[in-house]
Amino acid sequence: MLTVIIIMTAGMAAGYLLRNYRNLFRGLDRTVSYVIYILLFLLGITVGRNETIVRNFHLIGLKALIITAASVAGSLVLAALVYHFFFRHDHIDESGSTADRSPGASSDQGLQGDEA
Amino acid sequence: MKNSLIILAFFTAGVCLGIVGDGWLPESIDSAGSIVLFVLMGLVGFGIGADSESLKVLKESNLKILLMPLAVVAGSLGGAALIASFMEGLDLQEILAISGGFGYYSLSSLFITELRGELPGTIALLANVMREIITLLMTPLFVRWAGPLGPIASGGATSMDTTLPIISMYSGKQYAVIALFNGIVLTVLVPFLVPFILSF
Repeated sequence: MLTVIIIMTAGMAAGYLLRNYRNLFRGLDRTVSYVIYILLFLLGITVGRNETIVRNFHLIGLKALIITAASVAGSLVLAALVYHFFFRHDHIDESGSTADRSPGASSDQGLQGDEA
Repeated sequence: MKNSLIILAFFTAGVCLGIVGDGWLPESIDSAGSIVLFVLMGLVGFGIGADSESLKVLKESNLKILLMPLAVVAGSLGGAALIASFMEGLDLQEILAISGGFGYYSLSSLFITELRGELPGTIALLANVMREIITLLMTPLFVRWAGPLGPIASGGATSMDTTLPIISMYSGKQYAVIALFNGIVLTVLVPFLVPFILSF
């Protein structure tokens, strides 16, 4: 797994250094999607040959759904808290008007300070 | 949505071929996967490094906007940890790694397959595709339940592309920047976080 991180970091560094050679990046996204298709096709073959997985596919789907539901639920709770404590009084308008500094916002300001 | 369907189609085609072709397909297919994965990682890193737009968004961030991806990481992993004890056949690390894909199904499932085998890898693929689909379908409800940041959190890494249109529609355009930022941070984080979780 260290290999993967090293390759990724090296790729990022190379991409950053070569970022002005736009020709190199033309079609990169498409290439990446094709490589992903190939990999998932290969993963599919491996899975298809694995009888345990094929026989228990409904169970696997159920497990996936439970993990996702729990992850989404946890994220929603924290998102609601973050909104309540940090973003509610901002009044980020589409027009881009400035934040509302109503007296009610003072406690939130304090919290923000602690965080920073 | 279209992309995840294409991915699922390729995966399903592979599964069918695997079932039918068991016995005559060469075993070397399994190891070919890891080499292609390394190539993919290099390419993905290459793209991120050169993307001035994502670097700019990251640079312009203030402390408050960082709370968004932080909430997704803590909420997803925390939620998954809570149900881990009911989950047979997967250990805590695998469940956290699956949850830590944050909707980035292609990369996270490939990593998990590489590090832990195809069973958790397949669950990761399905779980993270579901995260995208659930966000696309339930964004209006999530806004009502958790406020405008709800669907951004639910979308996770996908909030920068596939789920961005529906998020900006229901949370408001002013939240598109937060969604974009959240998606970019999580997308960059996944290839580091998933192997990290599995390394203990």
